[in-house]
Amino acid sequence: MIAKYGASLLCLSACLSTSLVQAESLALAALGNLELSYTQPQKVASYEGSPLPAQVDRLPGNDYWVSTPENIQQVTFLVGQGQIVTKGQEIVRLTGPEVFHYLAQFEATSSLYQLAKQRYDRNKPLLKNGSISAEKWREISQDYFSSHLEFEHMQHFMEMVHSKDATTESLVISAPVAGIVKLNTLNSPYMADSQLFSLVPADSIRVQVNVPMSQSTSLSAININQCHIAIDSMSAIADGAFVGAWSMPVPKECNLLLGQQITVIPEYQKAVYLLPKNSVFSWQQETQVFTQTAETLTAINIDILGSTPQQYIVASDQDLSQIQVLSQSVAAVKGIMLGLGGE
Amino acid sequence: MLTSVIRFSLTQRLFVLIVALILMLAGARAWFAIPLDAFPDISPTQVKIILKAPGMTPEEIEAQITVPIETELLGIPNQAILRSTTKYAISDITLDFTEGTDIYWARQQVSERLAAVWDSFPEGVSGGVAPMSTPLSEIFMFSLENPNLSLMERRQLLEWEVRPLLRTVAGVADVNILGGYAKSFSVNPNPAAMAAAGVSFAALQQAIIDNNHNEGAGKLTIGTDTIIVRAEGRIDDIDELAQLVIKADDAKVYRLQDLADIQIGHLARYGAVTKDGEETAEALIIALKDTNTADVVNNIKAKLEQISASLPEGSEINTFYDRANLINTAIDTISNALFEAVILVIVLLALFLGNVRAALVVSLSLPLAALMTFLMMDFFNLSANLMSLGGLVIAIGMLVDSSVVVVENMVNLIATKQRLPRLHLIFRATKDVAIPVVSGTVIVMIVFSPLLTLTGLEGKLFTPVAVTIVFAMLSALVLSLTVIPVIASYLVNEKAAQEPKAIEKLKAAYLASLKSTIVYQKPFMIVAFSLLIISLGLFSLVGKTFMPTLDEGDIILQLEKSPSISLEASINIDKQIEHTLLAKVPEIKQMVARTGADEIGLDPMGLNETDVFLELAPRSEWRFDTKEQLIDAIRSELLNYPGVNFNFTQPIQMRVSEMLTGSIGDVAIKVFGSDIDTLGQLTGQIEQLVSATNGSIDVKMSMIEGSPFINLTLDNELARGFGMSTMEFARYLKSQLEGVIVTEVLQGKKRTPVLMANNQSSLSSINELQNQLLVMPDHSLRRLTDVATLSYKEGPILIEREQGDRFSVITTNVQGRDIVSFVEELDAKIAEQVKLPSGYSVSFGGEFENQQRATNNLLLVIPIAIALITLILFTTFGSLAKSGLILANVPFAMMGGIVSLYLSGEYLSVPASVGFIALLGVAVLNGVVMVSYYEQTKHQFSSLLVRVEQGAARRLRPILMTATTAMFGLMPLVFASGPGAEIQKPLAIVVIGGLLTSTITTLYLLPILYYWLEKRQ
Repeated sequence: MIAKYGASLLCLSACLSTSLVQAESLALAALGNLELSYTQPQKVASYEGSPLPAQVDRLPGNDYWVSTPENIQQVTFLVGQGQIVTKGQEIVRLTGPEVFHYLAQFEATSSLYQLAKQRYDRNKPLLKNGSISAEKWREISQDYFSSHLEFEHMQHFMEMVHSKDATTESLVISAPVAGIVKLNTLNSPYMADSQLFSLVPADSIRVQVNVPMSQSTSLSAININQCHIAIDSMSAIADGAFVGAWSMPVPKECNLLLGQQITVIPEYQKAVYLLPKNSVFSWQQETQVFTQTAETLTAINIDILGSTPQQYIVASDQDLSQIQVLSQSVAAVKGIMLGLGGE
Repeated sequence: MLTSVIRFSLTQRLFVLIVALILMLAGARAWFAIPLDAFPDISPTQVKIILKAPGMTPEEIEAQITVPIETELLGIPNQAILRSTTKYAISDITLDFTEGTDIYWARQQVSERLAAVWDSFPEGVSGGVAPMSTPLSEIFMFSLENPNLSLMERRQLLEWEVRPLLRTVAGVADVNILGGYAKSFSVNPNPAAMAAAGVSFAALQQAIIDNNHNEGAGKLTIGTDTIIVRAEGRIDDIDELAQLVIKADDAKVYRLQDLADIQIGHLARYGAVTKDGEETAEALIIALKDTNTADVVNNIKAKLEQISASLPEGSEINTFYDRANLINTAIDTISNALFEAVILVIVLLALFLGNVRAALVVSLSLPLAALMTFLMMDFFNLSANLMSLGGLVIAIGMLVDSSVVVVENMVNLIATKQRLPRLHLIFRATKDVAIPVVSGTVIVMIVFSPLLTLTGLEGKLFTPVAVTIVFAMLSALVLSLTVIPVIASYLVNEKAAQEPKAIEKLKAAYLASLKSTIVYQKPFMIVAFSLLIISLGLFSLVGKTFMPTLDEGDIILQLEKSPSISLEASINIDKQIEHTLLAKVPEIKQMVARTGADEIGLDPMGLNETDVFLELAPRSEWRFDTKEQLIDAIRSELLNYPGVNFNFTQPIQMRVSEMLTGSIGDVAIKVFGSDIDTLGQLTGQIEQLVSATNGSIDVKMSMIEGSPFINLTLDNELARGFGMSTMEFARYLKSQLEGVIVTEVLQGKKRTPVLMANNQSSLSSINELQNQLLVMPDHSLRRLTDVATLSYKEGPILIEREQGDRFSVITTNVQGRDIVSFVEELDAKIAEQVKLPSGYSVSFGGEFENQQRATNNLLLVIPIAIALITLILFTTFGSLAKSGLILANVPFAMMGGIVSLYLSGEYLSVPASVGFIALLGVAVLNGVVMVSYYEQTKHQFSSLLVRVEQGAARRLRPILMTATTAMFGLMPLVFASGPGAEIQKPLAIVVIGGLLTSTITTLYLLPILYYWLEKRQ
């Protein structure tokens, strides 16, 4: 006769004791004129999870580093930070007396190397016929290899020199390889061996994301706005509760910049279901839906993994793809379970 | 002195007539000036504190807000009761003061005490002392309809265009805006960007607050001029907000738009409004206490007409509740009854007096007395309402009594054809009856004096009745001794002295029957006393209730759904029900439903609660004869919606019940105690007993426990490593779930809150909550679950307190039996079957409480009134025995009242009790008329028997006149069907029934008893 909260509480406690052993069921006939509609859960192979912090980074070890061989008075970068450059493209102009000194030193080293080479080449037959002592040959060889190494060292740098101008005591360094240039801008002077710039190969630009360990195994891709990038590798070492993952190279159309801090939507490879949000209700600390079987509604537990504005992404022990889930008047049906109804 | 007054009136007839005319004109003016309302102001001096604490649970609010306030308020003097209801995010504290406490003093006291504890409240608490209104203050409600406007736009219009204008109307305390979406500028922080920029949540919030300011800097004197200098920084629009610089260092400038997503959003919704199944926005106008409701409503309507012209095209103000309708209908009902009563009385007078002139003279006392009553009502600030005008209707029959006695005596004296000037005869006739007329009137006034002692609701309702009756009787008395003799001197002639033949025949028949009765007096006495005993038996069968339910014309359907329901799901169910009722019940013109809490917090309902206002079509279009049948039809449809509780009430009835007991229902059973779980268990047990008790309907138990909570406990060791405090964590959580208003953007008269909030759609599961990213104070980024532990807990849904103690309540209406017996049965059951732990107690409230109080008051005061009447009678007759003789008529009058009450099926209620009080007076008056004549004619008749018979025959006409005029004066109230008639009906039935029996006993029993008494002496 009368709907009462007392009954609700009694039902609540009764239900508490029974729910552990059996699911709640209601006859459809008991639902009166409540508007009822059902939805068949949509099974999907993957789902999007909660946003994760990420950074556009370069895969470690793939950078090409270029350093200055001398202390430089003036460093003028000829390209912008992060610009994509081609091999041989002018990158930086080094100006100053030390540049002149370096060029002169390179000339001297080159001459010394030629001299040492000639001496080495000439004395090589003499060693075979025993005209020179082993001790002498060791000295000649040492001198040759030493000057060779020094020359090669300077030669490698000089190979990157695109042009030099003795009048202005400057030289221009070009890109040894194609890639994204990462300029090392310093407020202090560039001392010898200071890094001038590095070149990051385009396929080294990846998204580095820390994914919760519990979900790391199923992470298959990440989405940033409209950009979808697959996961390339997953670290085998945990960082706290997270595991680091690297994406495949960032496509140019993603418009992501190196070093950019972003929030990505992880995509997990797992068979899940999409359900309307208004089909889900809470019951004794569990999340449930009503499924229709014949002339009854049965409440079953589900696990919400994520959501879209209109739908929940849920996992369930049961195969939901073939059953109908109540998606209207769910709260009223829950009210019936609570014992509500009537005057 | 009386003689002087009469002499003066008759010697200065023109003067008296002119004064009377002036008074009549003043009375007519007063009628138009008297404040009109449906009911008297029934509220006690009451001050409400409403505080909002977004995001806080009931237990937290109780501990941190409600209890400190209650402790502070308990020290205020003159308080009657302190109640509070604490729900999620709201604390509603009500303090009732004793009768007569000045409302402004009370409000000042409460405000001062509140200010004293305000600093101890948690941050984010808003609100304060509620507007000075009463439960009857919700006088006008309308929705704003415009299909071209979004719900947010409609709400904006109501909030910033309509509300400020309506608040300028005199008498409007506040305008409550409900439904739609309250616009905000939503700032949704991007944790990754904030972490990269090194900006914490708190810093972001503070930067917004600090930069939205215009500050006066002082004055700059330039030569002979002084110019005001100010620092300008106030944000004007959403674009400026987006461009706000939050951090700038190392040539890096971080603007708000770089760190957060900024968009136009809305505040968290605590309620919604639907009209005929579609969402809308409404305004609810609250009137100030002690205002002229009819005037305020008229002014509101005029203002709305002005406003309508400036609203966007297609806008329609859809009024769904207008108190003026109830006022007009109620006043019409009572005015019609008054008019009909006057006509009936005049016809009766004409019939009994048999002379148009004499009848006209007596009848003139009716409008004249009524106009003088209005004059006094205006002077004493008494509003014209159902009760005060009802008092006038009750008095109509008695108003003519004085004039009847005076005029009757005049015509009798004139009939003696003495050779004296007619003016002198009129003077003598008036003078002769002046003392009995005055004492009779005083007796009636004393009879109604107990009503002035009633307190509570019954006192508020029936004091105007008593006061109006006293005013009317005084007016009638003054008129009967001044104006009536003057008018009579012009109109009454010798022809008026002749008794109508019908009266003569009636008199002959009465005389014959009286003689027979005196012969067979013993059987007559046995029958009379047997009937009296039977009526006493019937009394126990008559149902008892506090007050009949007033039909306000409208219906409110209350719906209650699953306690944890979301607003959207709640609205969805409401819409289903609304669509069905509109389709199936054509008597419903429109339905406007209010789900959840209102903006001010005057009605802090949960999201699972809905009040549906049903505006009904005119009764002529109904398929049903009564409102009950219509409700039955609605009920049968609602029963098809299981899972939803429902209840029927009316706008004023609902608020009055809440005001009286803090809960709605005929009987409220309160269980006091401290532990929520124990209270819940006890309430459950008692609720079962209530349901099992015969007569209980609409049983409801306040659900105080069982609300699920998700507890997020900060892992202190870990969180401190990042510099995160619990306070900062809580603030962050609030911003993610509820939203935190950090500042406001002023745009003309509009104020748009800037809300730090997460995009609501992104957080809709535990999983998402756990994975929510936090920017730690050290600017690192962590998931919520990394620094906090999530657990489930059940806590109270609401906490109700009275006089500082927690309680839970079960309410029930009682149908088919009286409340008193219901409560007695229930009390016995509880005592027998429920074991109360130490510190726990049960008390009964609701209408039952009022009925008990009213009964106790009347039981104390009525004997005093009877004693006073006895004193007057003793003074008049100089004999205690004769006084007793007259008072012996009283039980027989009561007998008629009881029998008529039983036969009509009405309950013994406060109005019925007032009817019995009125009977007391009329019964005594009849006796006085009879016995005083016997005493006057003591020396005219030698035989006692002849004196008794002839005297009775001589007094037949005046007795019948006073009795029938009183009866027929009340007859319209018995048959009135409009709103308000219900409250007067039991009264009229009791008086009519009582008059019937008391007239018979006056005409037959009293002569016999007088005969016995005189014979013995």
